[in-house]
Amino acid sequence: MNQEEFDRNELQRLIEELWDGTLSPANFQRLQVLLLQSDQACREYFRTVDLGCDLREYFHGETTQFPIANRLSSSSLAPQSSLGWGVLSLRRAVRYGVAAGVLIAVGWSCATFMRTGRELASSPAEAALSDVRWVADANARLFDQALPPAGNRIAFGKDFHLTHGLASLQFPAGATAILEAPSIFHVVENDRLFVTTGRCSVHAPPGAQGFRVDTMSARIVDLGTRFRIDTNLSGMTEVAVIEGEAELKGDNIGEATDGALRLKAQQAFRQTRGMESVGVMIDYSPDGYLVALPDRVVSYEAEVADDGKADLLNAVTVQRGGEIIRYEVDDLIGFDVVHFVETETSSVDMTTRVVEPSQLRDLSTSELRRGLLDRDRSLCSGLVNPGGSTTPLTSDPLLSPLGAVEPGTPGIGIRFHQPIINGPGPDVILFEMQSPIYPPEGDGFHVSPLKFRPGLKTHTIEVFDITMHSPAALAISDFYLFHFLREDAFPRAVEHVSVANASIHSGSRALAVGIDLSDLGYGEADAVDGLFFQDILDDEFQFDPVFIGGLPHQR
Amino acid sequence: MDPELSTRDAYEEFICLYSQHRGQVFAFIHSLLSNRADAEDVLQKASLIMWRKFEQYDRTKAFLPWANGLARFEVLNFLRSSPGRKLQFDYELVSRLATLREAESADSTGRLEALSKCSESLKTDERELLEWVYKRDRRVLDFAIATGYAPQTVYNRLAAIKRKLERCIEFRLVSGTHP
Repeated sequence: MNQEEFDRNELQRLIEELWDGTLSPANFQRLQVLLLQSDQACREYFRTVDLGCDLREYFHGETTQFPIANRLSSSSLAPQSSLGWGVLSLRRAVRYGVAAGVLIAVGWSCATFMRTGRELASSPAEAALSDVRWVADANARLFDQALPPAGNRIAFGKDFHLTHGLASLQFPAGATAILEAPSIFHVVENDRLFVTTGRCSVHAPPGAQGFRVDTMSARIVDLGTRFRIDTNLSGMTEVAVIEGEAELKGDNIGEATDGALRLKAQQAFRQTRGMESVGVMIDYSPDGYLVALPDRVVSYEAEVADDGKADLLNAVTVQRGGEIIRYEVDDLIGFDVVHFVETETSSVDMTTRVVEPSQLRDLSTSELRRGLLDRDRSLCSGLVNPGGSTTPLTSDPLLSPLGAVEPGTPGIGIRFHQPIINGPGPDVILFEMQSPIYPPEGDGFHVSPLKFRPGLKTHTIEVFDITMHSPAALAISDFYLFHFLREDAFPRAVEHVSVANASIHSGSRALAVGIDLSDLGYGEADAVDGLFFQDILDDEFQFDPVFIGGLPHQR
Repeated sequence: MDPELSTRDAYEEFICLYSQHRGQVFAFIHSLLSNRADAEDVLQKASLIMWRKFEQYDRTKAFLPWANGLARFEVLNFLRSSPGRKLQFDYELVSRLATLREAESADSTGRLEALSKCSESLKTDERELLEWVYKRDRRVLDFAIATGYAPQTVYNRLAAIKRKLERCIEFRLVSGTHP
């Protein structure tokens, strides 16, 4: 073949299909022939591979460690101490104005300097699973990898780059460690954690004594305690003991006591690592120590439809006041939709499970339309794209009686079948359906009292507890999306519109969030009979509620 | 010299060089193995071999060709141990690609910064498609299913977006307008 005789468009399409795993055998042979017969096609192929790799680096880290590593290279090939690298990386990264994720990415190479050759030899190819488990996370995201499902065992030596949120690890002897983003860490042994950078709160109950956390400049051995560690890439480590005692080891620490320093409760120590390691006692503060992950919706369970995806909600697990509680869906408190009004910027939409065509006629009555949200437990059906406001409500929403001509305040109003009693943590749970190409944290919304009084306020939620990043977000079954005609002036109430068209959609997941009535200003044990929801209108994506439930009173 | 200290110095030097060239080594492997997960597995094994053989590395020569040579060997090992994998290039083509690739200039300086700048000019729908594939690691086919477009349309669309980006990157690198 002549070097010029290939169709660039065809070549690139074949490459995309190859990477997608959808290339037919015939087209695969066609691609091989192109590459075997044309050097130019090979070079085009290399360019496409390189761009694909660059795009992955770019989107997973917004930028990457390699450009920075390139900058470092001119000044760095001479042997240097680990500290020198850490400080240099940090300084350069800050100068270039990169985000925390990049600091973490840069930190990988610096941090791994601190490991021994034995540890390198045992990773990454020979990594074995430890007995340490990734037990929970809250709004967490990892750089360049998906979150492990809760309860999964973690491989020895595998670096986790936590860029957002919190992660909780459980060690076999009972110790727990809560890591805060941004942080980098890995499990060294079943009783040893290495924190390269970030904050870590440790609780080692009786029986877990001897649990150890290593940083780049210190080793902290637990003696039955709670302690907090802050460490960074430049080798600074601060340890604050909340309860019990901890033993601190490191260069130039406690020379008079065989290289170890015992820290007692309410003592704190800072170890820095420069040309020489320096350690000093510092003022103690318990601030920043995390006893547990925040209260939140932890997970949910659902029956699967014929397509193997989630449909009917069965149960939800919530952390309230630090306690993990599982609720069957029948235990949740139901509600009636008493108001639904769109804004002029949105269409009137609703979704249902995929049903027989004859059943669609039932949507002709407003009661059944509202029932998609307040009378079923399907995660595929709801009144989506409700109205909203950029400004949170500060006074009572104007509710329009069903069938009224005047539409009232844009949004959804609900009245519970029995009052919700404000208890610890979340009191109401809300699910929304979300497409993978929409905001992964969920669509922001305001939640307001139906009746304001002094002290009450609107609360705005912009990040769900279970986001698209979470393995707990289940893929939901296919659903119908109905659009409605605008017949008159808008805004319009849902009862006044007629179905224009319907289409089937797939690929969405159900996100969940807990609403703490205390965030709206309600006092402990206050009874709340209804709530009002509005989209925050921060983007073109509106929130899509598919299930709301009140939690029974938790004494 | 303290043997432990010497090992540590060598390790630091290795990590420095490896982290600097990791992306290029991965791209080299991925151009021989179309399956990305396979390429990652081979990179992991190759990185271990590189460390074990690092004392044989000639410091007067560039690191990347040495690393790619070991990676090529690991790719061939992988192919021998995993015959008949779906959509895997023939041995002859793999050897040809490796030879051509090794002969190419491997300077990637400024590419990612240029990509970052160029991506700012993408339209929302173009960025959505790229994010679907490269941020969420989802298949193009699934995007087509989710959006209702014909798969061929989306494959062509993605290829066109990449050509646009490639032109922009080349322009920035040649014109020196990358940061």
